[in-house]
Amino acid sequence: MPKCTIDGQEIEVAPGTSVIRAAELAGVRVPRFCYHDDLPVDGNCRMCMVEIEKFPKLQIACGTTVNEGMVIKTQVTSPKAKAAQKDTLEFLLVNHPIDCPVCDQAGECYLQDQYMDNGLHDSRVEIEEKINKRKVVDIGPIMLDAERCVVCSRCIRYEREVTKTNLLEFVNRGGSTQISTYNGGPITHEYAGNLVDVCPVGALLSKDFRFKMRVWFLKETDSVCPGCSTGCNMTIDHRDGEAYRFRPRRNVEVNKSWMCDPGRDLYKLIAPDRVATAHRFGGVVATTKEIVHELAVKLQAAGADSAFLASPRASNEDAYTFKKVAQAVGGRLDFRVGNPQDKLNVRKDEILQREDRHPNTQGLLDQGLGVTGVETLLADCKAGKVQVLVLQDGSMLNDPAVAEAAKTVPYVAVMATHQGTHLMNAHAVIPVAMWAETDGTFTNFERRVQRFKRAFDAPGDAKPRWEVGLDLLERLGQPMNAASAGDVFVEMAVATPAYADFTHRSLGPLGKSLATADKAQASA
Amino acid sequence: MSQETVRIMLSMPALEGEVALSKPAYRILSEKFGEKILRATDYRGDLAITVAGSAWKEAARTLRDHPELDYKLFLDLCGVDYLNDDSRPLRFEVVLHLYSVTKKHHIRLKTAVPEKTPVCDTLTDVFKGANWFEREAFDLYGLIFTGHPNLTRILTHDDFIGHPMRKDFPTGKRYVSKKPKEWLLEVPKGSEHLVLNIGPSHPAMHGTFRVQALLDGEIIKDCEAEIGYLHRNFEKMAEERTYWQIIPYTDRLNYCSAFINGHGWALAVEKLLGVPAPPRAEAIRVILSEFSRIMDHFICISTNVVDLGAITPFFVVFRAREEIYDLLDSVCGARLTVSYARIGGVAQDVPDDFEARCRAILVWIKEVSDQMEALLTTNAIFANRFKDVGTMSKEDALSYGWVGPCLRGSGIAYDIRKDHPYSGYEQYDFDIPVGTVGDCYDRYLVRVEEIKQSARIIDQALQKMPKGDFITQDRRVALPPKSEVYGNIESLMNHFKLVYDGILAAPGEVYGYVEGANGELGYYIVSDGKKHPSRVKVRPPCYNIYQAYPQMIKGTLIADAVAVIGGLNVVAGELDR
Repeated sequence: MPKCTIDGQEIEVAPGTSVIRAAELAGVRVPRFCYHDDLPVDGNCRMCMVEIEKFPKLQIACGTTVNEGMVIKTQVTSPKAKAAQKDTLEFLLVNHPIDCPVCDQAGECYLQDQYMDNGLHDSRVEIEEKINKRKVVDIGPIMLDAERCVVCSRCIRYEREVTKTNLLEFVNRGGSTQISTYNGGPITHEYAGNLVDVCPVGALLSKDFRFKMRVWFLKETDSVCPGCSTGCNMTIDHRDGEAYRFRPRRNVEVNKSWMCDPGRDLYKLIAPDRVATAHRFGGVVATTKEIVHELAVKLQAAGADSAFLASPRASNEDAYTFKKVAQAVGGRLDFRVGNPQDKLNVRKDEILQREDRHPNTQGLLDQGLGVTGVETLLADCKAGKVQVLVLQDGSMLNDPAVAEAAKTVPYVAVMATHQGTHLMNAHAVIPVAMWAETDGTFTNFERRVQRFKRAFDAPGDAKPRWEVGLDLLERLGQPMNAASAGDVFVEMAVATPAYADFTHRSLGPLGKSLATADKAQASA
Repeated sequence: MSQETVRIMLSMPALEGEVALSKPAYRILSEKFGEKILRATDYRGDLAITVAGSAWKEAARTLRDHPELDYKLFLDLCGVDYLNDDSRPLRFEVVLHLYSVTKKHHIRLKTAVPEKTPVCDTLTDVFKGANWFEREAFDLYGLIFTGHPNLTRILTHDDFIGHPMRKDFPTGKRYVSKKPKEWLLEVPKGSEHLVLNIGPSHPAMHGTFRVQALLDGEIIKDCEAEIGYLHRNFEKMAEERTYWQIIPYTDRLNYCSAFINGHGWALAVEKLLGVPAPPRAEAIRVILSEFSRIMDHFICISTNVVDLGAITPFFVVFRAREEIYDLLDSVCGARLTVSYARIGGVAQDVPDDFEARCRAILVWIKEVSDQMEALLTTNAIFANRFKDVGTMSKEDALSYGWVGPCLRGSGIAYDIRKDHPYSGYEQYDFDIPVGTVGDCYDRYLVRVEEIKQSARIIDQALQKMPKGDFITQDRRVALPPKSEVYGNIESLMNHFKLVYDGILAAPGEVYGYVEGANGELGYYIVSDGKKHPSRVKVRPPCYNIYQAYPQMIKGTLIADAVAVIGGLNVVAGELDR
């Protein structure tokens, strides 16, 4: 393990660590444009200059590997490095348009940030002297502005190394260099949103997010994408109870810095067509309290003649309380509508997406919610053996087999997030919160338990599913001593030994893998 | 916003150790309390000592009584909520600011208070002024001071639920509380005394505050004051604003001399950042501050004598005040709430005819103050109403935390402009008038003399007015000129970053203070490195002064109570914040 000194601070790093990473570990952020944690080093922007003893010239921190005994001075202690960075920035700004007021990147732009950190210089270029390039170029889901580009090649390397589509390349030379797609054609793959994130400036912008919201008004909440069983870590950017975009959150073990476009688009589902109040058959509005009470009475009457269908969209906490309710009355229980467990680990593409479009199939398997078998359960419904059917997600009624079976059950209760004709045949609809509106955990395909946090409130009377579960349990005479999702998780961990070592807090921002925990247990 | 970027913040982290160790307060306290002294910091020259809760009261008493320390002037006491600071084991902190008028040094004494049982010893038996400040800390933070004689809400209504300054209290949450508090006093059963409410809307109360008096004939037997009618929680608003955005709010503190508030705020933030304003800005600030002081004194004196039946001086002096407002108008476009100060300077340069206008106004001021003096100073009726009325002893004045003309009227020559010069006051030649008796007449005389001294300062400042920048050239603090913002990318980015990210001050805390028209106006600012200050506490001079008022008028005639209140110059905007 080579040791080096960074700004007077001695630090030991793994062999092969670059100076820029080592400095980060020492708490010093060297400014950069072309360096990206999850892309190969290119070293073209010359922004990350540092002074290294015994080197005659300044070196780029991203392209230099730490060797034993290196003495490194960053911009914090080296006036030479600071001056070099300042000059590099000034060069990068020579042809930069005066665009901040109309540029969506303003607020999260490396140029702005690094100008305030290291630049603070006066301008020496007149507007008339700037080289004009192509602006507002529509390349599919992305808008390209070549004038704002700092020619760092992050996007080109992303196309080359991550999606392997090579859709972007440099054209022209010198001051006129700019990026372009072949013949100006569109970006066609499902990972275009990441181009916007890797771009350190406003050259590549999301067409979807463009001009919707200034970024400094947005609040960030750590979350997990519910789009498939991969469970990409992400950030919900929201303001006043409304989500504006999802951005990937770096987790080397799961999604690195990437996320797919279908996942990013999920924010659009949160606001429209939500079920805000509880209602009975035919849309007769009732309070959630009444409906839950009614359901509890029906369940008690039905006893074992009841059936429960959990949803792999629900969090571990939701599933646990749901399972407890089913156990309390001794009803049939399953969740494997459409057999998601078979698709759990089937890749949809070579990058992130998986065929199982539910975030928590593995969590429900771990908790043992698949008991009765879906076919048996639905057959029992059709045979008239079931008096009460409880569905944890309204969208299950979109499955023809479930909808067909539900028609024959005298009382169907549905926890629903979204309105629609599929809810017409339900006898009781309980409004519930989506994942962004509550705390909880998902377990992804490789048995990694990941936590998501509440970003904003659910609409109207909607409550988290675990809370509805708690209400039902209380009315069924088996109350649980839990006030939050964290409390439910603790109790769930007791009942599900694989989760025993974890609490919401101990999962941390990046989650913990059950697989590695199992391995550790086995080796011990 | 960007997950990969972190702004480097202005200036250095808090210093610990050597500087603090050499100061007598630290030496004496650590000798006496040993391990109960938990931490001492010396940031920007502010000595701050954290003591254990068990030593809180004794440490305060030691600071007050030790001959080498002599911290007799009670400045401020407030709560701070560190909900989001995980490095602190205890959530709340109680912070006491003291000053020694003989040794001329400040100290900040702190103790941490846990969240579950937010209990702390009261200091009401050490400093008389602590009473209302502890009530305020109870009201806004829910801190409980054991041994406090009357720990009730003071700024918010009795029906208010929760403690608004706590970090987990949502900003903007309001309650409509219509029910007035009928009885402030306990009236003995069967008493034939008359209970009289003076205020909250009464011409003799200079602002919306209320005194309930128990009258025996014309003698006030007992009385109690109620404040908070103008409370808008400026301090909570400040926690949601950038350092610039707070400037307009400061104008609403003492609105009679609005510029001084902004001046004080700018100086306090400049102290926090370690970025000074250029000399020209300082000279402009001094001139406008002194004009504001003159206006404030004019208002105080003239409205005071209006209450006593003399209406002529009011019309005389208000002519000059009008001229000063016109001057402010020409400088910044506003008359009352000027918002002219900026962090690191002022908003724009003064107009070309500034000096000529100032000189013309000085002539006016001379003329009207001479007229005012001729009408009042030797006027027998006026003198009889003022002399030996509302007398305040030196000791009580210090213990209550009186400052400014009122403290100087009681014979203590403490003036920040002389004792801790700021904005270049050390260059100017001026005198500090002091009273001998401490009655209303002394306070009047002090103000009259201060008007003349302020005019002297303005005259000198105009003569020495330096050329140069009106705001600092530090691009981390001052906005670039608009012409540049529209003309090049560097200034545009600079402007953008400063507007939406604001100034990022390094984590630390300072107490910045100026000589306001009513006395020491202090701002205690805690920064956690974010764009909003994490805590702003205003030390309003008249909060301490008005606190003593009920005690001063007990046993006096009701007519005297009216004479006293005007001379204290209580401004509700500053009192209630």
